[in-house]
Amino acid sequence: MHPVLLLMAALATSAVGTLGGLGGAIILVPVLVSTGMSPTEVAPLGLLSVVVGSSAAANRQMRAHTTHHRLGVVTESASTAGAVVGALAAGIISQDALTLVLAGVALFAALAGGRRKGMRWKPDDEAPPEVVGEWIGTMDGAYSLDGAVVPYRTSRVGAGLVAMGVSGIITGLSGVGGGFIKTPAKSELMRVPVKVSSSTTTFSIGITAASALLVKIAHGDLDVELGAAVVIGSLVGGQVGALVQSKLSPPVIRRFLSVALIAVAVTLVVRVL
Amino acid sequence: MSAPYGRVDPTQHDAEERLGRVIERTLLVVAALSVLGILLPGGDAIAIAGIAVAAAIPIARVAWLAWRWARIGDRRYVWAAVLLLVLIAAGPVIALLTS
Repeated sequence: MHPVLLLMAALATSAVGTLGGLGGAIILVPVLVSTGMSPTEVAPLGLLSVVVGSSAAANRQMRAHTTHHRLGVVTESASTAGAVVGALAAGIISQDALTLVLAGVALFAALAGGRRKGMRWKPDDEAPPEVVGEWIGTMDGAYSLDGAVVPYRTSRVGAGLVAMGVSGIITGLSGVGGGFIKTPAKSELMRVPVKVSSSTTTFSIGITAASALLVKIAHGDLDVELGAAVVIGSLVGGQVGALVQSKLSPPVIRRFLSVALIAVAVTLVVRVL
Repeated sequence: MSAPYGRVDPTQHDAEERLGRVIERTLLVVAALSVLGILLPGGDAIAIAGIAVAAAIPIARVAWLAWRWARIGDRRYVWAAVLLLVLIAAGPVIALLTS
């Protein structure tokens, strides 16, 4: 693929991935494979797009105080442990069966998020602006929405960690990034606001992708010229995604996330057929 | 939601904004190295250096968080960050050993 075309593809998929907290690779990888590139060649480019998109969104998301680092670190520990287990167990399940399971999970998450109406956590007139941010020693916090303070409490942490571990195992087995499981698991299972959920996932998926990317670089699997094009595209795309995310209301982001998840499910099924 | 609210580290916002700016500037360096890597003849090493720096950013961010939380005495989350760093290191080591 011509580097300029790849740059444009990385820009678009990184913007969409950051906006929904999915990571751009879930869209970029199938697109590149469909153009005739081999999965081995495409995998490090997908990882690179997630790493750069994650960091590109960081500045804007941290200024908006929508990234909950404690939540991200705890959930990503479960995912990374799952990914190591999944990588060691790779080959036990057929790739096609696994891809169909992933499509089912994406569809279920889309329906779970899409059928919920309104906002779970409402602005609290009594909450002072000083409580915006992460609350020390907890996975709770508050964020600003149109000048109002919206406090939230993370719940069902045990179930959430199991979901993150399963998403990690799936990542290790399939090589597909788990953002499309992690973001809905945080917002629907752990009851974290969707803005915080997608920002936190954008932060955390960059960590695992970076670790895997370093292995790919060490193995010499990365095409440097194409990699450089992905860096530039994802850099711009991550910032565009974070900017758009900051302007949209939580219900709109949740609907966008549902549509993106359905697109992911269809893409995965098409890969198998 | 009923009060009381939790306590926010009073230095959190400033520290995160500083980190955000550092990440943004580092990414500009990464982008510059990527462009030079494409344009200069034999620039692969420059582009690889840029990509390696990009890969180091999220991992350095976790280390920074561990240091920040240690400073305010949030020990439980310091251990969570250390555990994550260990797992991050274990993944590539296991991958290299089993490849």
